[in-house]
Amino acid sequence: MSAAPDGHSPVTVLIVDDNPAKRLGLKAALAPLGHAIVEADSGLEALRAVMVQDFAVILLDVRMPVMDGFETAAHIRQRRQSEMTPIIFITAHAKNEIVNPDLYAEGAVDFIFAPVPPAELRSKVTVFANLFLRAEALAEQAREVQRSVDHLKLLTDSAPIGIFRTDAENRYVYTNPLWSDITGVSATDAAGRKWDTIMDPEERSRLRAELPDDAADWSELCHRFEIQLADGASRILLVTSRAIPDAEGGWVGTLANITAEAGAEAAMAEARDRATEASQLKSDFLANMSHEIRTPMNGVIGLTDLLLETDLDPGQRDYAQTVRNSGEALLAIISDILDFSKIEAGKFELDIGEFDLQATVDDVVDLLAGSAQAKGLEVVTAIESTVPAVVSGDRGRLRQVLTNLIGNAIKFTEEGEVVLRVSEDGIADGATVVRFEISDTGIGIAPETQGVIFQPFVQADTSSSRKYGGTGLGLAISGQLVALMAGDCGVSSALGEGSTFWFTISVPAVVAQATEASLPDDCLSGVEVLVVDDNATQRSVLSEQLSGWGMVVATAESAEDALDAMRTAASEGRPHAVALVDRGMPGMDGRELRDTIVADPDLAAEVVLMTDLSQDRDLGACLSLTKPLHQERLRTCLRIALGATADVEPANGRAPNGAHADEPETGRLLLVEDNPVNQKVAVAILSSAGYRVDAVTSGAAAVRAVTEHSYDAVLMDCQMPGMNGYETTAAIRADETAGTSIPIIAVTAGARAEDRERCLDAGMDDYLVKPVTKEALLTVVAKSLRVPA
Amino acid sequence: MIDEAAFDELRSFGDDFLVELVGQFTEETDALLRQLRESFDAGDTTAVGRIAHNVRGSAGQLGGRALASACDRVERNAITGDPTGRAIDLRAVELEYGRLRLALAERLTFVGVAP
Repeated sequence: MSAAPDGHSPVTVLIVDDNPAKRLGLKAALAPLGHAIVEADSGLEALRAVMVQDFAVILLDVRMPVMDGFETAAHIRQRRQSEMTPIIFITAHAKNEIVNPDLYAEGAVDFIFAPVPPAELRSKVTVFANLFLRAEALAEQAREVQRSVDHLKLLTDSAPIGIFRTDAENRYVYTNPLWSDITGVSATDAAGRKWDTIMDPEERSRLRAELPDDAADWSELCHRFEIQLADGASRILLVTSRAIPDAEGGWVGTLANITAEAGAEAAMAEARDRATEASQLKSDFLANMSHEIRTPMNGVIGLTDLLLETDLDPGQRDYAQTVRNSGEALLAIISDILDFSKIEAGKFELDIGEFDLQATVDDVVDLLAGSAQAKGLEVVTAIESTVPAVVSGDRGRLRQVLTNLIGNAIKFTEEGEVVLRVSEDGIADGATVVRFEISDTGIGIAPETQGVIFQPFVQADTSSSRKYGGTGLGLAISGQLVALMAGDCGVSSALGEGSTFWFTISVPAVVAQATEASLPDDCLSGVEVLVVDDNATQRSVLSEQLSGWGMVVATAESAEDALDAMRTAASEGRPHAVALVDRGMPGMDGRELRDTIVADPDLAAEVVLMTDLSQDRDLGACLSLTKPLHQERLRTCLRIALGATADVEPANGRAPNGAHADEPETGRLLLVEDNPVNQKVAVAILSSAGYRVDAVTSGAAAVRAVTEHSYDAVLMDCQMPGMNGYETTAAIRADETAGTSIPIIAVTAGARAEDRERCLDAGMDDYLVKPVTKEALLTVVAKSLRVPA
Repeated sequence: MIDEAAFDELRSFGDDFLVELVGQFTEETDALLRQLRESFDAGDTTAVGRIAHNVRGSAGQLGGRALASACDRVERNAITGDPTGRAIDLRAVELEYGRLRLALAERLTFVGVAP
């Protein structure tokens, strides 16, 4: 349909007149509107037309033969389809006809006098055409709405979930068939019932308690509940609903039967609980079993040790040695399993104490260096000067992780080097993060294995477990220990090129300051030193360390290069004062180089040889250091080489102590100690230094003793049954007259700072940690005797 | 298992002293560990803590670090009072004691006291 010229949509107009000329005239008058025109030449014809189609308006001539306009109109009105169609009568007669009530009685809505004025006709037709169009549009909208409603109903009726709507009073207005299936309540029964009447009263009050008091505040709801059906079966249902946000209010919602899902969920939870319990049982069992195996195995090893000390022929010795080695190997595996199962069972506890980080690292490296050097591997340790000297942590566990990783590195490396680097990696939560990096030049690990290597029971590949043995638990344990020590671990590696394992631990620094051994040293500062080693890592680590002490460092990678460098330096008038020479180098070895230097009158350098544990000790008159190098030992050795021995402390770090040197001490001491073994040892130590010692085993006896005799000092065990050390001290102090305070030295098992505080607070003067060593005991006693009481 | 430095120090007081000391230690500790087990079975954690403390003291003095630290754990767990007693690992104490005795015996060729 094309738009009418005046812009309105075209409609259909029926013209009824028996006179063709008049019909033509009307048509012509309407033509500009562009409407469709249907003509009828009689009333009968008109009736036929309205039966087949709707008209926007009917123009009806009043005077027609057979059936006149009034009669025609009456018939049109009688038909339901056309009862509302507007009719305009066209009449040529006098005005009295207008007032003829018939005109309206017959259903006319308007009239026009002939001859018809075209403008008036068009105006009237346009009004009715617009009315007709609007009515059509409304009818279409109504049909559309009905279609939507029909679709929605179809949807909710066939939905696989219960659907309902309630009114503002929460009474059911609509429920779909599935809702009835789920609840067992028919739609008719549901209508008008309160929405929660499908729950039992108990459930209802429980839900009410969960919801806000004012029902108007419930905008959304999601609730799970159980219902009993008429047949006694129960169902678990989940209802969700939302308030309808309009003035009338009410709710729409869904209801799902989740009986099956809830059952599956419960079964899963139960399965999980069972699995956890089983895993716990397994771990407990493993821990117990390991214990049970360990005990007799210790007996086997210990007794084999004893057996090995007896006279055996070589064959027997070999057998016994094999038993011992096998036992050790088995014990190591058992320990792994025990540790692992303890960690798994969450029973693993760290044993926190203060320890010297560098000494711990040196210990582990020393322990493993033998096996590395036996394979011809170079072991190099580099500890950065920023690493704290003393930290608080689990020394044993750190040793375990280091031993595992360095041990692995040595195990999987056939030639080259194993390098341990220790550095500071920032501060987190008040603790220093210390990073350990162990690099080797071994077989490496395939990329796909790197991701799982810290998981239990995984070895790089099955062939490696055949070749190298082990439980495959070592790295898993290390990883978990590191996690327990608030650290992290990882690996990077390339097949055939070696691996770098790293881990961090988070340890509060007790002595944060860099170790003294890494600070510039007056004796060494400015001294020219030549490092001669074929291993590049060793050269660079040594250079860094020596530079840190202020030395002027040059390096050479062979004895030949070293001689060239030394001769050049000597001829330029700045000869090397010290040469630090690796014993085992290809070509001319360290010993030959030493001999050459000594024999050359132009070269005055002191030679320090660095030797492996396995190399012979027949080094002649020369300073030597055993690799792996320890910082402190290296420094002492260099100072000795430079003739600065006078102020050097012995390399083992134990300061000579005047207290127990030559002349015997005099003084009378009271020892308060209930443990006979501890008492016996303390008495032995003190007596051997010349003191006269009285020993008592209780606080009460001590209080008595100090009133009966005059003592120069009291050694007081803190934890005794009955009156403890603190109380005893208080009692002694209470009896003292002003100005005569006897020195009291606490001997306690606690090494923490607060233990010390407590002793001092209780009135004691000094403090010793058990088990006492000779040196510590004598030092503290001598110190307290020197202080005027 | 044994702190050699501590042991060497004791050795410096002479073999007789050492034999006597070890003898006293084993005699005493044998009895204490029996009491320890009894107290534990009786649920007397106070006594468990006290005895463990006592053994810890002498073990440490003889260089038995592992035994001392096993005792220390028992002592601490006894003090914190785990009512189930599950955290109190007496077996570790007994095991470490056995090992220490063996080690001491080895050093003294004092086979008479070995288990």
